[in-house]
Amino acid sequence: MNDQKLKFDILVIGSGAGGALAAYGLQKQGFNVCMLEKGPWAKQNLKEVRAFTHYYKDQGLVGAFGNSFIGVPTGEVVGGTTKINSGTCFDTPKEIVDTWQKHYKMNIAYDELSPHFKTLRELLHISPVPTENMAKGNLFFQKGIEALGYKNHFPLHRAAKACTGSGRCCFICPKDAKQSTDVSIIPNFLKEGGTLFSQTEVTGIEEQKEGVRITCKTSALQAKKLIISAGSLSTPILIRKNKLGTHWKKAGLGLTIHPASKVFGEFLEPVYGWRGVPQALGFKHPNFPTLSFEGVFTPPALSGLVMPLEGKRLRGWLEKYDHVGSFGVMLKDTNTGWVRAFPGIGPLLHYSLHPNDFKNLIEGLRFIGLSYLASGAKRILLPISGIQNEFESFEALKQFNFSKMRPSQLYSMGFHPLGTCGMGRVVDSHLKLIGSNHIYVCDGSVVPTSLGVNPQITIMALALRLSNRFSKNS
Amino acid sequence: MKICFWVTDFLKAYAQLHTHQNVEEIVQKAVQRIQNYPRKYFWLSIFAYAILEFIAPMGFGKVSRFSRLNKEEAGFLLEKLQNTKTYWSRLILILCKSPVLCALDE
Repeated sequence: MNDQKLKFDILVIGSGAGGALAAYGLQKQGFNVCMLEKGPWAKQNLKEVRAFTHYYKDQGLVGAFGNSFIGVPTGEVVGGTTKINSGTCFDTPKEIVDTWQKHYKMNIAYDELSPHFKTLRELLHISPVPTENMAKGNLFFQKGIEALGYKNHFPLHRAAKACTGSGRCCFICPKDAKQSTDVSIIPNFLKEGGTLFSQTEVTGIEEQKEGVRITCKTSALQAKKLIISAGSLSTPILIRKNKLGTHWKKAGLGLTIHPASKVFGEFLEPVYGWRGVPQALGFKHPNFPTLSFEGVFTPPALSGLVMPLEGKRLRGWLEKYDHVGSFGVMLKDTNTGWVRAFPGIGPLLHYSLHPNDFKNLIEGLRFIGLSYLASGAKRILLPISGIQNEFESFEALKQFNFSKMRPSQLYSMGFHPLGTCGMGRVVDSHLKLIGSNHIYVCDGSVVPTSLGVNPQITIMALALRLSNRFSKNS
Repeated sequence: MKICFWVTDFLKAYAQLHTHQNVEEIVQKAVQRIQNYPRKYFWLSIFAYAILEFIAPMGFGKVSRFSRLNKEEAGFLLEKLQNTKTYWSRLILILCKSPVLCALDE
């Protein structure tokens, strides 16, 4: 972008699940839309480590402090976090939307979102993962839970086309099979005449009488409307920094993250956990309704970072990594945290695990460990430190007393930051910034409660709902 | 940004615990990685390396720098730091070891 003033009908900050879908929906209707993305276009076939450091926000070093430290990785690349997620898709649960309506008095009905689920299924080629494409870690978990008497596992639905199981969903799909927005939506947006500036960071936002003025390092842009879709961690910071709307002081509160963790298992036969779709199988345990069990695997290049080990024990597991599988569990959280930027320090995240959530997560991890041992694992490794974390015996793991464990001993991640500009608090039911005439927010930050499912489809459906609303009012 | 001497000394000592090959190359890649960190994390890293290199050994009864410990003592110290019930020492350790672990597989 050269040093110039540019005018558009609508500016969209961010090219992820919210921004890309909103921009595409609006461009298709004839608006002149410009997307601004801070990150670059992703190059394919980079090694996993390079993909991690190049396309994750702050090189993947972002995390939330509290009673535990929880890594919160998000994407800073064209496609946003859809470029580095697993591509798993769930429709928004009806009971969640009903809760927004009844308990939070939001003017939003399930019937407003559900038509978009079908549209998204077609746009993103969403389909269940075939068994032959599943990474083996998933199949061992399936075998284990069946041995324990549970049969209600199911293939996860993913946004993928012609996937050959490269196992690199989170580290840039080498075949563009995963339908991140840069593959599935943005090309259509550009064909419709839309504009996208990548590697463009917004430095200032000013709401004026007739629209908004955005400043970047070398340019200023003007538009009648602005949609901020910078993600749950960045959107509230932009709103607070520029004092946008009347409720800007509440931006950043209400952070939910779906705390998640995983268990490793070493098997007698080779597993090659990086071959196949890592997040392929799902399971809901009847005794733990807030837990979602989903496959996960970290490629060998980054494995040393995610194992709760050091020295000889770490080397022992890494040397056998071709025999290692893993499976994960994610929690619908009770607590909320916050994100804020402080002078001289930049953004800081705070989040503490609720005691019940912590207890449930530990039991979920125990269950995965038991399942792996039931399926024939030689040993399992739990993501905890400060106490025994390796088990070879089913009975020993079943009987082990975790009650004295503290959240600070748990290794966990939060892959789905949501809620920091929640509906009813910072934006209204139609995603308009409260107290603003021209600014909207459309990303995970507007989701007012923890979802309990992977949020990509929810965010995209909200974006399509927003773009439809523009056409009705224009 | 310039890297302090204790960073390269720690990186070399840590790399030698995990591999015998191309240690200089691994250290160089690790240094480049740290130099490319966002500014906040760069200074955090420098501070974290200083803690591990100068202070952590004293916490375990050794009046020595980490890079001067023998392999057994260094391995013991790392395992202790990794295995604590609070997360600060683990965080410092992960921040310090990640450039080397990433460089090993690049």
